Amino acid sequence: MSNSLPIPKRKSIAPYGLMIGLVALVILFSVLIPDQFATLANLRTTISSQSVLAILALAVLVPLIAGEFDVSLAMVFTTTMLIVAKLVTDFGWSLPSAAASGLVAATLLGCTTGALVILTRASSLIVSLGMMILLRGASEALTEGRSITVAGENGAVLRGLSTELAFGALPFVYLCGIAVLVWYVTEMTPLGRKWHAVGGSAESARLLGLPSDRLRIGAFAAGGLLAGLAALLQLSASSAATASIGSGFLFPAIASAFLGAVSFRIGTFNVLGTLTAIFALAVSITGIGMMGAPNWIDGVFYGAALIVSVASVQYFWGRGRT
Amino acid sequence: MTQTQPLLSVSNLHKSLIGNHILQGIDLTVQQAEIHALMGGNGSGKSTLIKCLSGYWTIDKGTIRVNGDPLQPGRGQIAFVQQDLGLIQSLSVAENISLGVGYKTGPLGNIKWREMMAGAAELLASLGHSGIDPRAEIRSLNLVQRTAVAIARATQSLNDGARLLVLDEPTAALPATEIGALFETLERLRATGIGMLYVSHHLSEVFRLCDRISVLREGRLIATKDTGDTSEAAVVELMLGKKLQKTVKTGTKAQNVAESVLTMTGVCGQRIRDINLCIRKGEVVGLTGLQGSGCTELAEIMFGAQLCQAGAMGLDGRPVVFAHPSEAVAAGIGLVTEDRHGNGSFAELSLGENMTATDLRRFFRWGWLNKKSETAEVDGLVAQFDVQPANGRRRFSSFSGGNQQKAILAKWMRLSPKLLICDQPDIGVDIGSKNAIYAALREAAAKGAAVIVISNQHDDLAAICDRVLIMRSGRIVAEVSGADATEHQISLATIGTQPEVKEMTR
Repeated sequence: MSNSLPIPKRKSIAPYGLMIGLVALVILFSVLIPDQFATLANLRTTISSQSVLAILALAVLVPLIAGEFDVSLAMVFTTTMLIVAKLVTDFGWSLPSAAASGLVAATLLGCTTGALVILTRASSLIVSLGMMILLRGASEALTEGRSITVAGENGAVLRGLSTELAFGALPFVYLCGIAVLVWYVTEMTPLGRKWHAVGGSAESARLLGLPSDRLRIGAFAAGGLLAGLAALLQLSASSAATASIGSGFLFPAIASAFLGAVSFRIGTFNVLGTLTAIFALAVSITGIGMMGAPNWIDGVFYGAALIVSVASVQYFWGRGRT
Repeated sequence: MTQTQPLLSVSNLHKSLIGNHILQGIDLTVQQAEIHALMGGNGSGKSTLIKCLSGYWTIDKGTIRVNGDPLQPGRGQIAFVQQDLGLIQSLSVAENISLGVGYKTGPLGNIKWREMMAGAAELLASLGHSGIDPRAEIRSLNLVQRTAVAIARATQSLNDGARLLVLDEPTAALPATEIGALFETLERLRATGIGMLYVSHHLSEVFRLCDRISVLREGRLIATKDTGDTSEAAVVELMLGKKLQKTVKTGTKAQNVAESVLTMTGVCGQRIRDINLCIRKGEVVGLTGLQGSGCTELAEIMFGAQLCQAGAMGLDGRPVVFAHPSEAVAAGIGLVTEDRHGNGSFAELSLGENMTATDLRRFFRWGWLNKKSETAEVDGLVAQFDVQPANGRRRFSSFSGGNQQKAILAKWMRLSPKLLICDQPDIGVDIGSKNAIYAALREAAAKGAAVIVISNQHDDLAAICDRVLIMRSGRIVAEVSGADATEHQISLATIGTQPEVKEMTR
């Protein structure tokens, strides 16, 4: 709702800045490095490799809409992968029942973080940080430092789910489905509107008769469920799980959710903005990498993006205030 | 009273702020070992006078002398106890007391803890509060103990030889039962020769404690009287002036035979005690009291936003218990909160989203939030309540206070509540919007809703309410209704002389 800002007449292009940036980057790199960047293979790789990250970013997004920060979601993601892999390999569970159990576990982990935030009345950043460290320890105990590989027939089925169909871009199809679902719930249902309200002011929401505690726990649970879905997709792509697999995902996911809040609906966390941010960052890093930049540029880039995006949200929100 | 050098002497003090002549020639003295009450209604100039003493404002004309010397702000000539006490909750008693004068340190820059604790303990003992542990955190103390710590800190901040203390409504946050303990502390201080300027709204306290009373009205010091030579009624006359004209009533009045909507019997909360009331269909009931009298807490208990610790509530004749505001909303109660920005709205959402947030189900069809029907309803409400500018898609925070309040009223009105509680609906609202809001409340009552209006504007209450309940120290102490519900009667009952405490209507 870009026109909810007090700028009545002139339409600003700021809401579309990130989208325009993404298109400009694609054109720029296609011109600069046509034989590496502008290929179908690169498109397929970028789209597929970013899908897991994008779903994880949507997982971070839902609690953010409800005004809560959950940094444990990357470890929920890792833990879910380990649980599913372990159930299949060590306990001989079938894939569907293991996957279902993984999703339930992920949802419960999100729920637990939410319940702890409500019970302790502490900052969700601190509580989820504790949860993250706890889960890291637990996942190292689960793996004993090794990776768990789903081999044999099950492994083949898993790989098939992520590669064989839709020109090998099946993960992107999953992402689109999940993104539409998250968009629908957050923008088109009363539940989503209530999450936005709680995120705006939990106390106002309570005095409006909204069950703000339950709504916030629900947002954490939804975040957990989405992290679980991302975990299933990652497991199907890699067939193997390690305790460290999720650690690189957390900051890009948070950066994208914040960067997304300066696109389309300024000052509001939103699905389309988050996805645009994911791919804008991915295209930048791929392009710079192909032009010969060293590996460490990733960290610098994501870090700078996070700072810039948080600063811009504050800037735009500040402008809306009286 | 022995006429020695006065501790404080103010003469011919003038002060203007933004073109308003707030203080118009104040003459005031405070003697040694005297507790001198400063009384006056809202806007009488009390706060401005205090701020001139503290050096917050520079004075335009006149002199302020402390112990015969000209006032030099920040030099420890006068000690102040602010209304909110100004203590830091997470620090200990001794740390708070030393905060003003600085910590004594050893050769290595280390704080001399033992000395500091001993000093604090001694100081508190001299005030009659040897029970307070200097190591205790402020938040673990009760309100009287906190006030004692604030007074101890203030006296310590005085320079050698300075003996003047200004207390700004120190009892505002205290339960009635604990005021005696505070008075003992102040009497001990008086016995040591300290003079005090004691700002208060409460007549009974002032007559119990103070030696002299000065009354301010409209920027002038109307009179200074020895407490023994005057009466509560006389002081009230001085404070209110001679305006006794009746306010012309507007709107229709409900009949007392209408069925009850909300009843409370023996309701107690954190600070409110033994509330009995009955609110009927189609009436507008005013609720007023001095700061800290419990009006807001009572409203929040009605709405399930605060715990009802004892007693019973009934809605439409059936007993109800609200554990959460959502249950009160479901039962047909709405609350317009006092703090519009803090807990009454979503500044970042649009005006329309704020309005419809009370009930979204009516737009949710076929698994979709139907934005068209939502916009239609928002546009209708914007037109009905005359919100300007008439654009529900603008961000809520971009509207003026009056229009924000209209929107908040609209969001509850669209639910057609049985009971609508409005806590200070006139704060930060321009006069045109205020009249529109009051007209809307009367109209809602005419359609059968019960309305409760909490306000400190006694003339407004007199104009729109069928009856007015007056609260003091957590209790309903008076009720005025019908022809008696005039501004004058409401003010009298609020300040503390009781015109006629009627039997509560059941």
